[in-house]
Amino acid sequence: MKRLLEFLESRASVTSLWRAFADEAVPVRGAWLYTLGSAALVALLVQFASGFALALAYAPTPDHAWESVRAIQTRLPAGALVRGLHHWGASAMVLFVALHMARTFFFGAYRRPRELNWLVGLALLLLVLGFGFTGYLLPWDQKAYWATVVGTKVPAALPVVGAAASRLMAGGPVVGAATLTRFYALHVVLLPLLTFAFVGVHLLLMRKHAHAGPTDGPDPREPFFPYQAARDGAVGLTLVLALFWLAARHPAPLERLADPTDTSYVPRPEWYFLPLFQLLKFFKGPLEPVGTAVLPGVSILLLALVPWLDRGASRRPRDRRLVLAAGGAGAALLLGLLYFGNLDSPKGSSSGLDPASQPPPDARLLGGLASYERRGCASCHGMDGRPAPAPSPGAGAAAGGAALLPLAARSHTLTGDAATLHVKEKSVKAPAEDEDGENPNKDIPSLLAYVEALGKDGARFSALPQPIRAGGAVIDREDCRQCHQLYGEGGRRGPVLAHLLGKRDKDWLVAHFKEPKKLVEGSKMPSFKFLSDAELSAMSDYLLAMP
Amino acid sequence: MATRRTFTLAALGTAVAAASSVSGAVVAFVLGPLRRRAPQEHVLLDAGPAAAFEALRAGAAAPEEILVERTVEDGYMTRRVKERFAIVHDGRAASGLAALVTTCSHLGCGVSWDAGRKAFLCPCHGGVYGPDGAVVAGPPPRSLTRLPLVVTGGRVQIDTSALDA
Ligand code: HEC
Repeated sequence: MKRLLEFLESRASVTSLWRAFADEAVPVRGAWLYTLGSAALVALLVQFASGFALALAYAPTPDHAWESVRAIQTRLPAGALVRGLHHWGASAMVLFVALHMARTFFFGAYRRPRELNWLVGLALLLLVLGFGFTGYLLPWDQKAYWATVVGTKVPAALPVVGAAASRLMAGGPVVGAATLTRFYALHVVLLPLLTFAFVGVHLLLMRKHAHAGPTDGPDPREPFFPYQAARDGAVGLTLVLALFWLAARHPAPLERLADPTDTSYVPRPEWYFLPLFQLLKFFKGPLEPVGTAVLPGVSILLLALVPWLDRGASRRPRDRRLVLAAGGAGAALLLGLLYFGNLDSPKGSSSGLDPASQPPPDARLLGGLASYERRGCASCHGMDGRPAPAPSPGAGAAAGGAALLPLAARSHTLTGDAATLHVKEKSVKAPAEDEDGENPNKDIPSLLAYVEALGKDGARFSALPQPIRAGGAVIDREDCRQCHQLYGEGGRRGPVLAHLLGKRDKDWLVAHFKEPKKLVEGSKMPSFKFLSDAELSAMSDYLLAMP
Repeated sequence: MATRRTFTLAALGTAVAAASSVSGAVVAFVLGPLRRRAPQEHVLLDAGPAAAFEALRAGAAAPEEILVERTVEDGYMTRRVKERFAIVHDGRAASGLAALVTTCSHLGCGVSWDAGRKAFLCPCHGGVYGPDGAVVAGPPPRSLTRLPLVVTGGRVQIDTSALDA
């Protein structure tokens, strides 16, 4: 060990470097406030690591971006966790960079000779916001698409350069394939490189000039290691744990696949762009550039000039009243805009997977759900096998004469034939015999599979979008599995039904159901013209939602 | 005579020249999207049979929104996309009709016809356009883009040559 260290010291000065690093004299007073910067650094490392992982499975094309993100979110091992870390890590970055900056501002630590490092820090803040803006588009869901449509149109109102700026951002006249590759390249190549370089310069300059320390009074110092290192470590660890908790409890959202023909979607920016978004509401018409460019530009310029605007000898707050008041007013304005922007924004599911973007459950389970409803099972067992709580004691008994029996969250005592018999006997409405004399109870296997699924993972199916539910049920009822594999199960006379999104669209599918031979020469698939248009359309929705 | 100074200047100049030619190529590439494609000659999109728009031509029906498939250059690929147009009455046009692009001129959200308010509404920042696509209220700086329609052989066709120049 000793020999190894000696070797590393003689060849790479490792020990001396470590000493220089560990023995830096850091202020004792206000030490916890100095952890904000290292927390931002921790968040940045989380972003690098999780971002690398995401890039392994992400495809930056309009045809595949959403699918690949959905696969990350729902199928790949630890995918939801990694994406959750990246999603929440982004907010943590903005938060800690902003707090760190506020701390530096309050301490007046940007004063001579640290002006340059203040500028580097400001550049880092802008880089972080750039990451946020470019990263928002990548999932290519409704939110991503429409927020970027608005975001790239914002500069268009600027005089002279507006149209060109907007076109350059989008990579063309409209948001599309070229926008996605541009944003991706910025997000994973240019911005990380710049960030890396700026963070390096930031740390070097910080070491060169040392900490500015408290604004007045005594300034005792202690070595960085182990005291400040322990504080930084504690804050960093707490942050990482919080990110894990958030990623596990509040998964990163994924909405429906972007639909450029949707005329009702109201995009909602990420919280750190809300103040800007809110400004748009105050500056309308020809004044718009004031809100989109002049105000933000002037604020950034003022921030950049702070070290030269505030140059007295004392850093004591009471000698810097004007500067601190201006900074406080700016922060209050920002928070106010954030607050009102948040009030004004449409309330939607801001976290979690939009049910419409989840891979639909197996068609068999949806067929089971349909017959669960048709046979009136819910009257005793409740929706999704969860009886509603009785409104008053005894009401449950009064309603059906029997206690309500939950099916979810317990293992079933009835199996096999006994279960089939129970269903036949207890059905509130026995299904009518089919006109072509088909077995009226052929739905029972699906029904039992559905009940089984309810007991197993307490799944909730009734919250699924209606077309997905109906479509899955029809696919099950019409027994497409005779010929097609769905989720790895079924016959092989027809192609596997998977990955249809991007290959077929809804019109094609519906036309194909009606007249397969018209679209595929010599097709052996029977026509399903006898189904209603609503059923055909629902089946297509189901198939297009399949992974 | 070669001195240290001339060497330094020459070396610096060469490095700057090399770096700027590489950057020049990169910048030219990045600025690529600024170049507009030559406008296409009369690309006609079928919007349906003329009979379907009779009432609208006479000015006796509300604007009608339709989805039309169109081939667009989308970055590095050419593909078929669905696009939404609103067919409206236009007394001055020979066809009696015009097509409006349902993209808000403010920040690009999609507008749709509200039968109750008899106006096109933008869901994002409250832009309101009249049945002819002119701004009635809200932040939009311009009216909705209007495309001419031609009726040939009993079909209504949208002339998209003015689109995405
Ligand atoms: C008798 C066997 C059979 C049955 C039953 C059947 N199909 Fe097919 N299906 C085929 C064959 C063979 C093809 C390939 C030829 C074609 O595309 O028409 C096909 C093709 C398809 C395709 C096109 C796939 C692609 O990738 O192009 C879809 C979608 C499809 N079937 C859906 C269904 C659905 C939904 C049902 C149930 C309502 C169903 N099929 C029932 C035999 C069948």
